[in-house]
Amino acid sequence: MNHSLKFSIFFASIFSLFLFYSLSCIEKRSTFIHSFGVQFKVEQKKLKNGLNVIFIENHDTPLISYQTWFKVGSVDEMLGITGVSHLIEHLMFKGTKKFQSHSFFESLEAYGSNINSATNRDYSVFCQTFVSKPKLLEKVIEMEADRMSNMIVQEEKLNIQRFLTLEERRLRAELSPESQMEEALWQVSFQRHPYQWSTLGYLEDILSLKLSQVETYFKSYYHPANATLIIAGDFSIKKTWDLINKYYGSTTSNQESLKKRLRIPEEPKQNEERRYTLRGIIKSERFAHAYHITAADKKDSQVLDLLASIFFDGRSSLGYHELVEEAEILTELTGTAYTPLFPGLFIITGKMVEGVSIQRAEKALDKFFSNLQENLIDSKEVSKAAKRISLQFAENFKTMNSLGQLIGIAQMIVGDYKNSFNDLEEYSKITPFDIKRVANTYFHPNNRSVVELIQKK
Amino acid sequence: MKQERVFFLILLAAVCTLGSSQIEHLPIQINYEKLSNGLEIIWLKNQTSPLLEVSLNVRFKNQFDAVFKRGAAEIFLFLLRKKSIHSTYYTCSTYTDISVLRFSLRGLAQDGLDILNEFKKIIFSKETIEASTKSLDKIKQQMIHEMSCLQENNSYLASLALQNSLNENYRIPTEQELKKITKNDLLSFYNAVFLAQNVTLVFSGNFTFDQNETTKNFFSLSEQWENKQKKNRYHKKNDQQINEKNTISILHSPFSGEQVFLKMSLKLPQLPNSSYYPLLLLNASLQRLLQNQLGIAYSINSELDLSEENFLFIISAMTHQNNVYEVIEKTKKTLYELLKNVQSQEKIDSAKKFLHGSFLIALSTPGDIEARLLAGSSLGFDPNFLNKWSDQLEKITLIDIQSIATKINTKIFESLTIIAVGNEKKIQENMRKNQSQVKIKKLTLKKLGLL
Repeated sequence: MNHSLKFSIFFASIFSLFLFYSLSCIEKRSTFIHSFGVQFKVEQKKLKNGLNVIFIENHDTPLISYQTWFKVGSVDEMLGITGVSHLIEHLMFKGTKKFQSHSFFESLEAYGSNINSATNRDYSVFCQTFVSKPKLLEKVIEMEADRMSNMIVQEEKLNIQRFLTLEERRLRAELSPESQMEEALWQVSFQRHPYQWSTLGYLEDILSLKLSQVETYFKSYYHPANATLIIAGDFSIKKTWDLINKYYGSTTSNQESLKKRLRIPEEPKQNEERRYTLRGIIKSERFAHAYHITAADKKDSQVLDLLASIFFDGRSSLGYHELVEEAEILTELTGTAYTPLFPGLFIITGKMVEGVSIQRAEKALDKFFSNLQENLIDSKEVSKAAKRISLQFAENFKTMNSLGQLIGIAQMIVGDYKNSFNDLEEYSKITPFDIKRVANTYFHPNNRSVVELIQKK
Repeated sequence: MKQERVFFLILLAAVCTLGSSQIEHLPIQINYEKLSNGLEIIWLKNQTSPLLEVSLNVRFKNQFDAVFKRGAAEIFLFLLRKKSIHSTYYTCSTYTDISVLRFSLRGLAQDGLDILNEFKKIIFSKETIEASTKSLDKIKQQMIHEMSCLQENNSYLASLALQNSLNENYRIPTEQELKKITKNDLLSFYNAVFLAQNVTLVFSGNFTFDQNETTKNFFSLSEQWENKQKKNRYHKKNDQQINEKNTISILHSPFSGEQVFLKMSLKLPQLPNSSYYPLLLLNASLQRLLQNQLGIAYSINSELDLSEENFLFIISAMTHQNNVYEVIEKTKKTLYELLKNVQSQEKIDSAKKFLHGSFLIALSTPGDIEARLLAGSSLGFDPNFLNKWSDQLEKITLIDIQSIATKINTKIFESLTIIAVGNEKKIQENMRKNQSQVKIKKLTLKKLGLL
């Protein structure tokens, strides 16, 4: 072979590689996650059909976590089709033309893998953790790509899954007092926005869902441009990217659906307190309070996280200390700033000591918030809570699966996983004045919904 | 300088066992030390972790020890937890059951030294007990409130009821017992149980402090844990419970809706410790076979529970009250098939493949490894047994499995311990409807210490 021919072949190879790359990948970004002295290389690529892929290559443990995130959840539903996202989560395991329903599980379970899926208000996710064997990884990519575009929706399968999701709804939401409370709280708090219903949907909607409605919903939201793959662990980015091209490259996207979230109705401002009482077979009374707050991408969301940590996070929190340990009126007290994609809720729940009425807790909590609105909290408590949040964040670095989950949630809720790493620095900048400000902005009875669970007569 | 050298030489003499190795396929370096006073220290170093966890594990016999009162262990642990509550640097977790007390602090690796110092302050805790006089009544009251909430936790109740059936009527302390505990009872507990030979300290994650210095330090601090009292402390096991054959014990729970929490436990005959890997493989096969029941059970899984006293297969399931009989019968059948019919080379290979993957996932974090190491250590396993788990697994042959299976006489199925927590009336109806021959025995919350 002469030199010129060698060069021609060399350049032709380079050119074809470049062409292949430019045809398949429209964007590529590499970055490092640095946190707490630990560093992970993260590479983000996008296929032409819009599929976003995030790789975290790490060879410490011979395991791979493969996660498929869709920007679809119960927030994308409307009355009449509530529960459809959850129903599709079930149907996703029921096979395609190429793979029978059992084959998806069998290939993975044979290797002792973990298989999980979940539907949230804002997103749906399908995860597998398995040993790093190239053939197994390829099989997972092939099966995941296949069910993204070829899931079979048939009347018979739909009816079986309809029955199963109804049973799940009955057990999870209707027979558990805690779930009943949670469902009621969101329903009372939201009157217009789709956050009012849970991912389990309403019974009558699940019963009446038509095959065509499920198909249309599936085609609208379960496609590459609405999905992010997160692959974390022991694999080669280059080889895996080639496989992703091979199996997802020809799948088309429904660009129309990407604008749908812009049309989701806003929740009007709440101007008066709303109350709802449930009765159940319980040992002691319980309550749940919800205040309308902001969405995840707004600055207040971090201040609210910190406030929740100071007052309600665990046994060392001020609220727990005062109401559980000192006043001894509650046995459990929790508080969370739930700041999702759209404006969310600050939820406080409590379980009373047997024989103590819930009114005592409500009065104590009101006093608590009014103190907070008038006075500045000790700055030591603020920095302590910031540290606690850092620790909770660091817990996500334990496994490749949990790191992938952290990145996935950030990608779904705030649009870019890097923001959540930047947010961590923001927590340390929060001052007692910020806490006082958000306490005055959100914690008023007129902005509150209350659900009480009392003993069934 | 000279003094330091002498001390170092003494320390070297004090370390009687030392092992160091890397766990196969995992980025975790294990170092094991047994000091001359019996104190064990395990180091699980993982440099890619941003976290550090330090734990104290004390082996003891809760409930059967005549030296301390029932309830002292639980209150003592509550006291440790309370002492650690107001820190900035870490989270604390505590656990106790019939044979172990665990206290741990967990924080960011960058705060390692602060966490270590707090840990020392808390675990060498006579001062904590001395200072507890004022707060003791409050602590007891809070514990009583917390324990009353356990009545609504059906999964916990099922585990407690199983412990009760397997371990001579083990129960948690009652409200009356807790109320009677004094500061002196806590001191007696501390003196009796905190002996160096009962204690294992585990440091896991990414620690930057010096291992030798830390070992020296803990060795000198643990002098106060020397054994001063040598007498036979344990109660006679006069309330020995003989498992009745063909019986299901039902604990009524008004809070379970239509769900039933089932625990089934198969006690295996005395087997040598070398049966660990064959039993793991059998359990892997069992786990896969049980998945076929997922239509009638909402969830079902099996675990191999090995301790000094018992080798057990424990099957936990959650099902609808109308399916209780079916789940029990199918589980029995599955167990029977597992031990009598199913072992072929192909099935063993398949179980190995399954176990290799699931074991790796189950050992993903230092916490998981710590739990396995401590369980292995209670059986007298070499501390390095996890280092070659993959090789050990591969060595198991069909003959090894068959030899274990033949030692397990299927007659033991008649002694399967079955616990059901749910609506008692509905469970009985379901059993009757299916003409079950299984005897029904009622369990009460009082028997478990909960009333």
